[in-house]
Amino acid sequence: MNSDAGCYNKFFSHVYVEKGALEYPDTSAILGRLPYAEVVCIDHYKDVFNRSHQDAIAQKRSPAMILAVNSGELVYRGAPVCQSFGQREFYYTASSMNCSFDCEYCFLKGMYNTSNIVCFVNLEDYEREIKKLSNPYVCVSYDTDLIGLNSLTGQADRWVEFASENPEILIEMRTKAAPAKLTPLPNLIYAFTLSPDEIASRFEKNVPPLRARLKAVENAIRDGCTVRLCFDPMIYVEGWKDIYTGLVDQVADRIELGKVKDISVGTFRISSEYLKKMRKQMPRSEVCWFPFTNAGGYASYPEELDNEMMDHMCSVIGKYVDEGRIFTWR
Amino acid sequence: MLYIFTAIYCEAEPLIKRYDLSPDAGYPFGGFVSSDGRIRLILTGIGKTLASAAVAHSCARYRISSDDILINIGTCGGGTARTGAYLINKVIDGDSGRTFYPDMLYSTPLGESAITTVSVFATPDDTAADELMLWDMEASGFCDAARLFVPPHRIVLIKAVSDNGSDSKKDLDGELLNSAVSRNLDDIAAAIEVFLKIGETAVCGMSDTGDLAEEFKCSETMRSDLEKLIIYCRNSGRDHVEIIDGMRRDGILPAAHRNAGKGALNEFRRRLLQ
Repeated sequence: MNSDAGCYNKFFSHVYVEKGALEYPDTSAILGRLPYAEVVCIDHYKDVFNRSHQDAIAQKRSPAMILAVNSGELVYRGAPVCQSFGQREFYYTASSMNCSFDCEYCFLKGMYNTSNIVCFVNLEDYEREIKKLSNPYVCVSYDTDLIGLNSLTGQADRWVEFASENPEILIEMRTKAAPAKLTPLPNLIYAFTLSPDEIASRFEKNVPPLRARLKAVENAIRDGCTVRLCFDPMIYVEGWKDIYTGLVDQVADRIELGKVKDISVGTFRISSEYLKKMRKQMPRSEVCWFPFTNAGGYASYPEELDNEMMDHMCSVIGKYVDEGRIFTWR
Repeated sequence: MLYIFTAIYCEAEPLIKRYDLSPDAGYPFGGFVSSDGRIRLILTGIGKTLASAAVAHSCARYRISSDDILINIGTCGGGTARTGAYLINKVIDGDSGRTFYPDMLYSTPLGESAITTVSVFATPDDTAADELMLWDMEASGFCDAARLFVPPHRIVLIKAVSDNGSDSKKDLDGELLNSAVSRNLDDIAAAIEVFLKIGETAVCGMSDTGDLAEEFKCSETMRSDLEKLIIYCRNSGRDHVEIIDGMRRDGILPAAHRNAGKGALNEFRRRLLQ
């Protein structure tokens, strides 16, 4: 433990609340869950979230919560590096921005200037926008981990409620958390990201260990939830082949893979701009300083290695699951 | 290192005594420094323009980096219910309406408050109008300059309430301001202790490739690639010297010319990922 460990405030010791968000019921509910937090009133969330020269790595030690009303764009078309899983109308939305977990490789570190978390309290506006879309498949937990933050924000519960009231809308909620109980719905996919212990212990701070995530997957399947497993991003380290083979075998040992909806596989890839920022922030990072190949504005592992990693993973998973249920991002 | 900025000597005196700071002549902003060099105190003069100028001048003069902490310590006015010293979590410039938010990462014994910086003394009417607000004359100027040099978690403001506003400058004499800081000195010192404990981030610059770049016959782009590969070696715990020695033994290095150097760089990458 660092000698300065006791010098930091606890997570969410400070909550910044937009004046316009003060009257929203979600604001009261969240503040009620943080009775000891210092509340600072702000005009606009960007006054805090977008400040220049922020040190996102230092902020990870004591992130603040920002409660705001999103009056901008609420739903986006899926990005090319994200998997659509064969769904035609692929969208994503961000009712929260940023994550309380601290994964060294996370693209959010390159995307945002801060580790503070924004929670938009006007969820009903998001819901209204999504209802206007035709036959949408909406990922609601890309730029955050809603399930990981649910005990504080309650937003994962709100999306479950929305999915339950709108069976024609397919929702995906991605997480690295290990929730004890999830609500099963046919139009709600719980996507669990799984990493080998060797990767999680080195590069995923504050994230539940693999055994806890596997327990959560087990429970979700037992309760009848639609479950997706994501081996994405695969991270290159020495001995990766054995490490990832071990992961799949461990998962297959615990989880009845026949009951999993599908499996996604992807190697680490990131916008070159984000990577540049992350390298500056994390000069000691092994993941970020890998000698990537840059093409089309994205950094990825050299083609030969990338193919080898993907092919190996798909082949190991293929021992347990039909090829048709394995999705890759390419 | 901690850089403490106070407006006038009577506010600084309790800190100078507490930390046994010695005079350190400077023009136009004089100051004091501790014997171990960990604390430097700078007198800014009254008002936000001078506060801004003193911060900018000091940052340039002392080559302040993002690992240093800049603290504005001073006195302020507040409503009748406000006493003690406060850590400031929001600064409002009373003239422009602009706001600044220091990051509040560190745990100190001080309570927190917002503050409004004004160009003339806050009156009793001002302080009575908003009981939760504090009023000073330097904070926004301090922040305006400090934010250009250090990240928001390295910007700290501590303000001790000296009065409930004043209609006349005469009411705010040096003794009053001095005693506001002195009364709260233990709390202020406890906060300073926290900031002194914050470990300085080790800055890892680019690796010095030196003669190695010569061996690869590097262009500027190749040199940058080589540096990144060596950083990756360091970060992933691989020994680049061993790989390079192997390449020397195999006659790949030193490269005869630029093209051979490009090939050698690719070979270095390949061996690294084997």
